[in-house]
Amino acid sequence: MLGCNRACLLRVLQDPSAPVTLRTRKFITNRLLSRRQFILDVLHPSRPNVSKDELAEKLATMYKTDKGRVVLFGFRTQFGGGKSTGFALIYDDEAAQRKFEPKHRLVRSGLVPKVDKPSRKLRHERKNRAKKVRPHPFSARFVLTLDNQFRGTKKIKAAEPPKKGK
Amino acid sequence: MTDAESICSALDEMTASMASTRELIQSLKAKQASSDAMDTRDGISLLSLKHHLILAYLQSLVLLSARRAVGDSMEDRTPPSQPFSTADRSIRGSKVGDLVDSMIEGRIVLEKVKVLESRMRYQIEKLVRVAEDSSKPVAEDPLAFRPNPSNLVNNEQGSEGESDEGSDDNGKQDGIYRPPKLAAMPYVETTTDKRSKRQPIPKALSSLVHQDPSRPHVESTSGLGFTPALASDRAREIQRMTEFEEDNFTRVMMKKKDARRRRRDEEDLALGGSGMSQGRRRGRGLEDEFEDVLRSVGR
Repeated sequence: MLGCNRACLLRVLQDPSAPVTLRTRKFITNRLLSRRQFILDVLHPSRPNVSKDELAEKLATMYKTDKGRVVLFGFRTQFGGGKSTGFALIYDDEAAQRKFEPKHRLVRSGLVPKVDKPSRKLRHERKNRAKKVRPHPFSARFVLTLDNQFRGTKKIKAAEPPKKGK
Repeated sequence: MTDAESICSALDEMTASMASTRELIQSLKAKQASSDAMDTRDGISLLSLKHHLILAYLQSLVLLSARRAVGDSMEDRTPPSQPFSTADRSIRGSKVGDLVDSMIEGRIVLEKVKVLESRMRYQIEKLVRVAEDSSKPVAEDPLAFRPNPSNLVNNEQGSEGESDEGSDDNGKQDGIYRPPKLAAMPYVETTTDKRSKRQPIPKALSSLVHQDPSRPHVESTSGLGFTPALASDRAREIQRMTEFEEDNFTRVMMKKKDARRRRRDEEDLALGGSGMSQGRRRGRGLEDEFEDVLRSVGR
């Protein structure tokens, strides 16, 4: 019962609609990459972390750009809560963003669809299995892989004595 | 009239005190010439440095006030060309500005000397105690010697191993396999070998960097803890990491263990601690106090 009360109290203390203050530091206009980049300090007392979505909306209104041009990453909350620091980029146009942003961030902003691949281990196993597959009898690969076909991939020396168990 | 009287009485006082000081100095000089008690060549040079500095400071002060009384300006100076750190720097000129410069130098050096003296306080007090009260001979007083931590090291070499004589007479019998030395192998020096064998910087010198009183006083915003958190190496490392991150617009890629350790150290620093969670396998309570002693074990 006491635990339930504490959880309710914490939820009451955190106000999801409390005002959030944004402060920018080290503002640089990067002409080479056609973007504006800065460090963003978010002050959110009595509130857990603010989502990147909400921050992007606020920044878009502040800098009069489209919400999709704002890229946020690297947010870390300071000890004790109430303040988080991260990085923000605002691109001039979508073409520049597609050209300069790394692929994972483009996937995050939804400009590039995520390619679903099977796991790396599975891909490697399949590739290695494909190396041993029986090729077409008229192909050159068949002739060249005759060793593999009939003797197997494991090379066994004729004079090797049988190994003793470890 | 009263002003003139007061000036005359002040001047008379000055001459009387100067005469008495001259007598005192002459008696001290006689004492120094006759006995060896005043020979400070084997003493602590830091303290004699202090004496010379204060003497020079007082002389410059007197000369400065005399020149000011005459009406000279404080701006003319002939500064020496080499910086302070060169050993054979030429002597300054004797203009008023030079006096001010030498006084400033003397004050800064005296501040640093004060910091070093505070580190040597225990030694100095012990020497003074020995000099004043020499009832007990030095060899019998157990507190007269400095700690010898190498005595704590367990050096039992010949206690075992007299039993097995017939079994294996060649070499040591400690059960460790030593491979036979057949061919010369190159010695590859790992980075830790050089690092551990280097002479550590004495704490007195490294404390000058952050305890220096001529620098502006650094306070932490949390208000907890009396020493600035930047005193510990880990705090400086973490600060350097955050600076790098903000300058280069990235987050440092680290392993999960390192990231967790960094987070823990940042929280510790925010609460006023020293931020060293992994200091020599924790439990570092007394190590800072005995760091000088423990560091000298290997020397």
